[in-house]
Amino acid sequence: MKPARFAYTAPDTVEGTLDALDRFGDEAKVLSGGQSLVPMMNFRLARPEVIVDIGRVSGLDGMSVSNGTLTVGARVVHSRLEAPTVSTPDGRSESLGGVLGSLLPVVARFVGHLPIRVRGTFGGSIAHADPAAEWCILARTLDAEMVALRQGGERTIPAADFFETVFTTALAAEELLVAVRLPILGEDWRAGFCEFSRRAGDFAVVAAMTAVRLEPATGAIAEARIGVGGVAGVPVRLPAAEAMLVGETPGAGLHAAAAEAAAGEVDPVGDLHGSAAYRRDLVRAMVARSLAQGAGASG
Amino acid sequence: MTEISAADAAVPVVLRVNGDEYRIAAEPRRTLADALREDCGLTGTHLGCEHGVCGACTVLVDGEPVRSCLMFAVQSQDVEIRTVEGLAAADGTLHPLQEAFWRHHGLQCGFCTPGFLMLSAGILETSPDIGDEELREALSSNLCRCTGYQTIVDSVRSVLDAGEA
Amino acid sequence: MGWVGRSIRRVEDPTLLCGAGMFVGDIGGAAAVRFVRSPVASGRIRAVRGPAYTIADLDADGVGNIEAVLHRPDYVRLAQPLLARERVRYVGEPVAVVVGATAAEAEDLAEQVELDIESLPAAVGLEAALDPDAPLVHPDEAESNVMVAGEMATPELAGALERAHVIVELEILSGRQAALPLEARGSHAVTERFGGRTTLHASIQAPHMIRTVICDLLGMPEADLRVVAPDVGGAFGQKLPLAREDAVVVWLSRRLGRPVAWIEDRSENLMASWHSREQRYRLRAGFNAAAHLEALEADVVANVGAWPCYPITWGVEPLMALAELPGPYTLEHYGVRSRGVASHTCPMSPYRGVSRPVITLALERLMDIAAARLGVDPVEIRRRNLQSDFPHISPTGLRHDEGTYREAMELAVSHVDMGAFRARQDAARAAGGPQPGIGICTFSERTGYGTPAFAARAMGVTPGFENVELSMDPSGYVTLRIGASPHGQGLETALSQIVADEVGTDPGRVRVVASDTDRTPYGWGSFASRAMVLAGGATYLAAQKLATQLGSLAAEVLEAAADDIVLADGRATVAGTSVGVDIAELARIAHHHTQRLPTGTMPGLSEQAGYDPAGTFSNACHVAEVDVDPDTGGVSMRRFVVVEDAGRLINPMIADGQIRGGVAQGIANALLEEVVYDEDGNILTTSLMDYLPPTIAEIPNIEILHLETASDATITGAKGLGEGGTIGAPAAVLNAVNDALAHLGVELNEMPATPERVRAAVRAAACGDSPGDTDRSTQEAAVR
Repeated sequence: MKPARFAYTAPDTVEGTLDALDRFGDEAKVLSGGQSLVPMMNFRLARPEVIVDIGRVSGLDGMSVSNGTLTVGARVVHSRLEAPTVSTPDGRSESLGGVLGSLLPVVARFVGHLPIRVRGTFGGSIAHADPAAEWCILARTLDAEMVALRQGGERTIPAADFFETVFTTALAAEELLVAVRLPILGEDWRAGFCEFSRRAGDFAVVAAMTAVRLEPATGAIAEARIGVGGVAGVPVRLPAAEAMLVGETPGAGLHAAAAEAAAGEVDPVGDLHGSAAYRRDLVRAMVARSLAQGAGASG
Repeated sequence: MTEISAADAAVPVVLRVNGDEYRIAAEPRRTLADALREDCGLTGTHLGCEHGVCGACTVLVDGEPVRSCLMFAVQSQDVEIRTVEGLAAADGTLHPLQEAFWRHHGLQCGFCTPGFLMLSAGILETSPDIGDEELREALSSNLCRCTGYQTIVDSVRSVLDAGEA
Repeated sequence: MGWVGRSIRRVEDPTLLCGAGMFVGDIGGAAAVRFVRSPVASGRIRAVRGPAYTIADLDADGVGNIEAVLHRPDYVRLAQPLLARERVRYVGEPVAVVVGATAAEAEDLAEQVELDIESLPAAVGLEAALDPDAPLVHPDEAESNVMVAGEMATPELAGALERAHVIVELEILSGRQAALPLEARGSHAVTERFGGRTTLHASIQAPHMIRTVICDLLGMPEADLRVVAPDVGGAFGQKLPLAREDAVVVWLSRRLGRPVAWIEDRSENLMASWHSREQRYRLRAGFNAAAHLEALEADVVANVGAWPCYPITWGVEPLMALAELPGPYTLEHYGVRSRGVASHTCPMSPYRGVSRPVITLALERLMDIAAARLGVDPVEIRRRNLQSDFPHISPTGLRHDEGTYREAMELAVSHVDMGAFRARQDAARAAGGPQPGIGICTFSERTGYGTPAFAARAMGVTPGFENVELSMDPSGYVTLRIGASPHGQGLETALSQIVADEVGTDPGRVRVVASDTDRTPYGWGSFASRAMVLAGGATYLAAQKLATQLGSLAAEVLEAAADDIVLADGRATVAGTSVGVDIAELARIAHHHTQRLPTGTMPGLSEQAGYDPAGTFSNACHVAEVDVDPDTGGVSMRRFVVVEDAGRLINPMIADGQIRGGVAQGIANALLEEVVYDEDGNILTTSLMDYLPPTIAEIPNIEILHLETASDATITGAKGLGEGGTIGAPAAVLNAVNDALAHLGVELNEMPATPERVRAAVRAAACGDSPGDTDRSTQEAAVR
């Protein structure tokens, strides 16, 4: 279990990185925290010809908020999202508040184990695109935007287009994911996240994130998002179940009905860790609990 | 243009481990764990799975516990690395964690022990006020096949508690 | 106060704590060996191309085949080559071997080796291998896949079943498991340039036995092979049988004349090291109206993989099940058929507990199901059936020595406070959500058996005795050389406590030498919960003899009667006086002033002794408390209580460590760990993300209480306990899971009780399906 040979470069700027990616194209693989890529290399399931290590690149590990959007630098490590802080325009650092500020630590605790969280990165997880990865589910559920650079250009890719299939994204070989933009979710949002895994720290068998926006006046649901991982090659949204929620008032009966709809809406493929029928059962349980968690958070 | 290290050539690498400097030559594919064991002769860092699950290879990098099987030696040049060999004092006095593991029977075959000691050292130094539940969560990072774990928790807890006294 | 019975810190630990242990992978200085393994479960080898050695090279050197023998009818005897010859029989079977400068380069080389194999139909899984039309694993040697079979019945069995008040039928399934020592296997061999003697360091449990078999295979005298087991990172049975790879490493070092090492990686270890415990039990049990188990009829099948293991053979699981199924109960009428069935899967070896975790699961599920059928409390039904007359002779002729089968259960039950638990359970059932359950398991653990028990198995070689050599050097320090081969159990510490008490010194002045064939007497190593009983017994006898020698010498020096000499605290004194001499002084005299010894006295201070008992039974009761989530099938452990009776405890801390570690492996067996193959024989669980040993988050604190029954079956009074934790825990956990969901009508008799299986059982119960076949529909991608 030793990796196949590869050439190695560690640029210290974004420009140098883009230069290397442009030069090596498909032969190159970006190494960030390495917590997903290196195991695959040790198994020789991944055999990049060239490793472009972005560990020395500065400027990719910031978090800031503007216009209701949190921008997370690609090299922010998971553990920083357990207690997220953002840089203010005047150079101070303050805790990220609001619904997203409460949600990120809940989700971060499910990401691997301590030594994985201090080394693995948010952007690395997104670019790796494991369909059961917590950050991928979060990005899909909240309609995150991925910011990708290439030599001479930048583009923004919506989450719905970014995740293509297992371990495969819309990023071109020459592109570097530099940041992810997330809505901070105003005070009228309620969000929850539930995950079922076999052991502490394992990848989810099924995980669900829910977020609903309430009408301040009526308390009815104005907008709903349900995202689940572990049921397809990418994290998926469940529009039919979401639609059932809109216009209704949160409550156990509604949550159960939406969870039932969610279970019917997914079309999972069975594997070693769970048959299709079992995964559907887990979707039902996780969606119901995530909705209840969100409702509970509203106090 | 940034320098590229060829795949099949060993490149010079400088590792700082337990305060000592090791000048080694390593292929880019050499993991930090293998470099420590094979090139630095520090075989206390063990390999139990080489895919980041078991934690036997845990070392401290700049004070934080990491899996040395998931880092390459070439990535590890500008950091301070600490391994189990650096825990005891130069005169052989055991580190409080080593004493505690001994007293509480926190080891049997001893293969996972260096990883658990370094994980625990990282916890002790970064989170001295850690609660019981969080401690168990943090210790769930590594696998032990012999002890059933409770004596490992007892060992670490006793050192944390002694620190508070 | 003596040293025995005290929880002193282990002498083994400082080295290990400082990272200074020496495991096989730490030796270094050797070229790297890598095996090229079969990618298919069954096939005919057409060609092997590339920079590799194959069986042809071994054959050319006259290397022999492994023959694991049982002298009994219904046993298929095979000659197993060290690398696959003509056919491959499981994914992972070694076909060729390469040598590279580093592990990475050896892996590069292995990738260049092309295996041209014609794929053939494979028999994978128990049912597939049993099918009359199944592809045969050894078509030239056997007409079916049944490789070993045993059958017996007591004369009145049929009548007893007919007379029964209630008949309970039950099917128990156990998934395939891996022992998973955290250090995988490995070996390192160096052959002297002149003289040609080879030293093998290997991660193994029985160095002397391994030396014998490798020398037999390579046709070399045992004097020319030194086998050392350095620090061993866990074994649990997986490192007891001969690894084919270790023999090939010795051959390579001799052929190439350079040091070579094979360090197994985790993926290889999961794929191609030994597996265990893939078994099915069908029980038919007759109870009388008083809930007494009168008669038991059983059909046992074990999937034993593609090859036997040396020297234990693939009879070990099915034949242990045959002999020990009656368990701790006063069962009179018993009949059993037990078969070992070959399949195109990884071979099996003993794993901690061997068949007893499944035997115990079967019996303890039977007791709970019968209790429910008869309207008796689970504690009460056991009370009425457990042995209490000792010695008790089982229907298969096993002699159970004194134990506390009932007392252990009563103590466990009172410790957990069953009444408070039932109140909490009632509340949870009313409230919904996670459902608490409690499960009891009572069992005995056959341990510490020597030659007589092994001779009954009729193996090609008969393990058994343990010998030790004990000497005191002129400084008064004691060196104990043992044939047992400890690897983390703390045996060195425990033996030093025994020596210290007998010789009047302290454990800090005792050095134990083990696991090196050049430095220790021939012995059988550490396995089967035997080392404390056998090596401990031999040590006790040798230490007594050394004490006698010291006593005679002290009597001579002190001009007193030998019977009046007391050895304690480093001095030999005349009883009732202050007249004495330091033991270290006696040691000097025995070596340096032998003119002071009576004529005819042998100079020096050394003794040897052996011990070879018939065996003993320790016993225990486990109680598990769980929470089961009916929506996800997830099970969390809330509490685990053990009442253990292993006789006299030499070092209680070490004993508790063995119990805790065993229980953790048992919980893993019950809930998490399963080796899975697809129907073509591809193994799906080759990483620790797919094969799931527990973390601390899955293991509760384990509360331990002790009873210490004096038994005359062992000379030290100590009984073995290395496997008990693993034997009892699965049944306790599955009984608890069933108890948690009993109000839903769930019955689940398969381990591991994965969340998917639990959830499927909940759904099946809700649909009114019969219990027992709850799982098959959900295993879409995977067959066992």
